[in-house]
Amino acid sequence: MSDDEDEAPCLVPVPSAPGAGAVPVTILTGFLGSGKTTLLNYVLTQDHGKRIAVIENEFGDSMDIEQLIAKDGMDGSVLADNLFELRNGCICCTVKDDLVTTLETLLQQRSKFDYIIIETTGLANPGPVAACFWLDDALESALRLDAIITVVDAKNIARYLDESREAALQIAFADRLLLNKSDLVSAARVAALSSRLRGINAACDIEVTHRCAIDLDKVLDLRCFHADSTAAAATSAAAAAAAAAAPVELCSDAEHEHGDSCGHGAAQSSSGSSSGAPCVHTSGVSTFAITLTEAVDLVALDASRPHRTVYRIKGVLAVAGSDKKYVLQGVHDLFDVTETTAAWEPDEPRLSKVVFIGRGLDRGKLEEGLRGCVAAASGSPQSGTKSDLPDRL
Amino acid sequence: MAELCETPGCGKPASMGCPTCIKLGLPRSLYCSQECFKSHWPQHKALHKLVRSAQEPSGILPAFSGYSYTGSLRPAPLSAPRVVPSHIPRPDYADHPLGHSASEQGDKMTNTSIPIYTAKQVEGIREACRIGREVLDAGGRAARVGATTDEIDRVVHEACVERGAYPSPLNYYQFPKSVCTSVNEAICHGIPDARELSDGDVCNVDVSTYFGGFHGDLNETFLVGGVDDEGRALVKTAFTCLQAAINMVRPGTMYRDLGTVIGKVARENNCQVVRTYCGHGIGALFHTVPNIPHYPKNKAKGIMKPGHIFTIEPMINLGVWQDRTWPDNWTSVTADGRRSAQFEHTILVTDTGYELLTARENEPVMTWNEALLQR
Repeated sequence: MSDDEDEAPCLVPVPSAPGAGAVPVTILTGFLGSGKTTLLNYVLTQDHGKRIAVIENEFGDSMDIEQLIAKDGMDGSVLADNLFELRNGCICCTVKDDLVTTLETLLQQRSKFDYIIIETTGLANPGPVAACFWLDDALESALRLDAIITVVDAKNIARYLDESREAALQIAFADRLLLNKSDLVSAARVAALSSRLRGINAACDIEVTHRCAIDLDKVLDLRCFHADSTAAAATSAAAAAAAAAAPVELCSDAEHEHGDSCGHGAAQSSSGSSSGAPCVHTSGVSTFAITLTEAVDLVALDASRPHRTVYRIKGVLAVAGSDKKYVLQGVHDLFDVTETTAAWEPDEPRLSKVVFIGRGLDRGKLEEGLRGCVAAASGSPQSGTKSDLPDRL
Repeated sequence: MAELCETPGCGKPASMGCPTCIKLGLPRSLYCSQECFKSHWPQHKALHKLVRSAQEPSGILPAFSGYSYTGSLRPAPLSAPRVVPSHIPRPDYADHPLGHSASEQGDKMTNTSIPIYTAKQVEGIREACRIGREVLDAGGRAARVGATTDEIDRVVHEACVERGAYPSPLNYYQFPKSVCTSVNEAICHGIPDARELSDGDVCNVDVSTYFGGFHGDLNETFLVGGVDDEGRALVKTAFTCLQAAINMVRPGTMYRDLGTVIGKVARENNCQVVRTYCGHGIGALFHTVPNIPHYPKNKAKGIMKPGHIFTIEPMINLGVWQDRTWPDNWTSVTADGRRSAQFEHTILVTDTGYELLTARENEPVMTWNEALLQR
């Protein structure tokens, strides 16, 4: 071409590293009166130097986009009171959800925000909204899903769990639980509740709070959907699920029968090590940990869809033909397998540990499904004879 | 009283004016001297630009004034709306003031499982698709050097009406025309207008037809006149990408895996895959589940089962994958202004593989033949 450098050539967009610089999105759930608004106000008034936009649903009980408003967290001024109208043209055959596109547009118009908190209504199922923000890295979105945080009211949660399905659902989806209003109950009660919550979701961290006072680094920028942090979470969750003995004394309902349907049967993991049998009488929502000693074949794993009532999956996988740890993540109806940056240590047992959180889970089926994904060269996982890793990984 | 020089701070009497301002019909701008005019020129010429952009031909949205285009394609005026006779059955959005589809929105809220069509429904969708093929062939024949994209729209519209079909794009979320025509750097959703096709253009014609309660959807990219080698290679790559994806269609294939092969073929040909738009389920609704991203490493839901019907429609770019949307809220163009091409079929998953519901006549398996696309 020409060597004419008098004029600068046109710039072209340069792809940024996936997720780098993306604005984190936290999904905040919790029953009415649990302290969600208290947490929000607490976060907004702390000295964190972040400009936070808060998306709330002021009108109804549905997560209906037409009823969402966006507020500036600093002064509470309304940024957009009808997000639906902000929608940028065509919605047909686009990859992203309307809400995501809308918030991206909002960020473009007012780029000064560096955090978004979406406050769901008391009764909402956080699954669908979380799934729509768990975007493919390839989209290089200006947004990234950071974590699902559920605030629980220590005084009333036992009753809510007995009376409604949604309370257990919100706990099941959480990456972090705030057991709030801890001052209103005894220390023993807090401990008992913690165990019960762990029985539902062994893969989340529980923070006991009073008026939602908590270190901000325990609620913001947790990067729970990053592959490396999922690997760590899955490992500890598998241990927690295994350690959770059936906490029968915690059942608030003395009449409750611990039959098969609530999963109190002794469950054996495929590796022969016993995983705990958590108390799952709470709407049948519980955590299962399955450990495989054999390496997993990713092609087979891809083809085995998790059960419908699985809300969250966190797993670390030993994959045939790779020295890296892989993670399996699932939210609502989405799941994904990603390579982490961490390699297995030479002396580290290459165990695949997958934690499922869901309602009425059939341990046998889940385990059968996972075992069906064991690589052909089982028994010698390190040899990695099956090295036909698909190039999408 | 003598008029004063425009240059701020000059204050000298002035009698000479800017010729361009006169040509543009602007109030006179007077300068005391050529030197003074020259020094003020960088600021002054901005006024010309502003006025010129506001004075673009009528029929162009005001939102385009001052818009920074990524390439050389420009909008042109639209023709008057075309009407579908009332005896032709219409989808629900056809008469909605904002073009919203209540059935699609309801489906989006409630339906998460991919519909499995009965033999009878498949027959209906097959017919809508067959009509779509005839209409695309007619629209494609209208593409040639000097023809406007609006002329293609007229042909498509009339071909639909002759067959008793409603052109699905018309009023879908207020899309103003009956077909999408996307030229050169336009990726998709181009609005047919008074722009004449030039020698060397690549022009995608995306036809959707609604007949007997079902939609069919397909598109092809045509080579208008003498397209350069790079453009021809691009069109062939887009064709090959769709071909490779369709080869994977059979029961048990995960929808997310289509993007992997499309990405591979594109990469091998030094092209990029658009990530914003995806293939979609189709049938009683124009767009429904599954969503089928065309890029690798996507988390698309679902596994193919016999009776699923969907489109695959990878948009392939010579340059970057990123897109921009014009202020008409429809036309999607490449972010770097380089060209984009696309092919699309509506596909049925059968017990053993697939059936191209929108296949060309006597071409049940996609076969590359450049001559069929040459105009």
